[in-house]
Amino acid sequence: MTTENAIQVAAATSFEAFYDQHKTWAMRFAWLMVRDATLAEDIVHDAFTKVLERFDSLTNPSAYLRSTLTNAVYERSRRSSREERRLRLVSASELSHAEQPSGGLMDAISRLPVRQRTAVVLRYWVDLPVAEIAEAMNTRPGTVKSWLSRASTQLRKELEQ
Amino acid sequence: MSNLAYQVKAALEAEAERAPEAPPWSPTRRTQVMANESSSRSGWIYATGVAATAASVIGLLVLAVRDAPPVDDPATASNPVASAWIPSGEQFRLDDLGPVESLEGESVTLSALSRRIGVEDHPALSIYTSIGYTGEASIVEWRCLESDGGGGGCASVDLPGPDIGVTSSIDNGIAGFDLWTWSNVPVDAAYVVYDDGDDARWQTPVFGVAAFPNVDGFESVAVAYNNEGVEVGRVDPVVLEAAQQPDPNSRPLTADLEQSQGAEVQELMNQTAIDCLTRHGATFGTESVGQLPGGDTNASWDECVSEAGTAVEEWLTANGISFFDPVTDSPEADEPYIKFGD
Repeated sequence: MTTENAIQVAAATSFEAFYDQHKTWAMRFAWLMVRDATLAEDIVHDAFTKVLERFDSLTNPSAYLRSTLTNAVYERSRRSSREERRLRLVSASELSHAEQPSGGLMDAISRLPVRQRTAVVLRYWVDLPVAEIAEAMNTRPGTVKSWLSRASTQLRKELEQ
Repeated sequence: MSNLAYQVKAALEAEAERAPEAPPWSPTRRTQVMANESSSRSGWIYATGVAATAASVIGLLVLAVRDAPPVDDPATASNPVASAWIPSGEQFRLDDLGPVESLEGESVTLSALSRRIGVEDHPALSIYTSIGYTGEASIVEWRCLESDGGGGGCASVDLPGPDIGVTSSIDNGIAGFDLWTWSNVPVDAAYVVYDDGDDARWQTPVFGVAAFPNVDGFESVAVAYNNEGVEVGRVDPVVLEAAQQPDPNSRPLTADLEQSQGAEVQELMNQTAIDCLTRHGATFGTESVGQLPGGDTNASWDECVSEAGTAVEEWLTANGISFFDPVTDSPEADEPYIKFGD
């Protein structure tokens, strides 16, 4: 085995360990964002693929995974929304891929716009401070605060109804 | 942590337990899933897969022409075109619908500092200058862009880079596409061209706003030109990344406020601004959008923003409000106005 090959194998082994360590967390995050098993798997796969591409040069792969997961959610959600809208015209019955609802508040969270939803999940499930949410979402802390505030207002309103 | 925050946290934790197991790592997982999907779901998955493949191919094509000029022979700063110039590509028109007449919520503005913008096949947008309090030592003067039907955001008028947004119009069920928005187009821009090659679209910005059906989200490329075809502004991932680099020396501290105190500060800020603008001749009626006939609108607005800011700073001092670093410290308040960092 050449030195280069040895390095590649070591990196791959290290990445697989990273995957095993983070896959459950990543899957749960994606699930909370989209509540669709196949879509969540795609999102997790997309995110880890991006981590793998830069794994050797990352100083904080966990933080990078948060960012790639967030971006993958945006990309997949946008794409699936468009596909769903188009295919709904063809067959409404085949498109009920959303899983069974688990309750009023969770359903209300799922109805939040995707960026508000992301901020809520990162804040209240991942327990990230606003500065790190802003980093993961590639935006400014003030914007995150605004999203969290709007989400809280909306959720409070729905709970009161 | 507030009661709502506890409930949200509990709901998320319970839902997370319902998540399916992640499969073992496989670089080719997507192909396997497509091949193994049952017929009841394969339509959606296959369509998604086809869309992804098509997007990849289109992406390659777009990348191949990305470096080409987005318009036909635009002028350069050293060699401007003398005759009237308009970009090539399809026009995506915005309509100036006049000043905003009313706003949801309590945002204070003047009609002369606002505009309604009509968008084809999408609910209208509203852009306005206002003031806000985000729980720090001072208020913020910001420009806000909102979409009828829900969604919007504000950014400081001092934002050093482009203010870019992507609406959630599809998620909100208000349109068949999301809008990519640029809310602080340079004042000397006569046109904005979005995307490039055969997909290029252009428009005349309205009140400093450009908006197009979203293509690449925050990866989008848009160029602002003056009426001679000289580039006067640009948005692309490199520009955005450079603008978003945080200044490590300017992390703002957060006021340790209870929710009720934060609401009081907001009310004080808005009422001070309204009282000041009224003294300058503005009338408000039942709405928070003031009419200020004649006079120097900008000078009056600036003076009243300053007065509202002073009132808030004096309130914070008078009430002995302390400040903390939201990254390293936690609030003392039982029900913090800004709910983070605990």
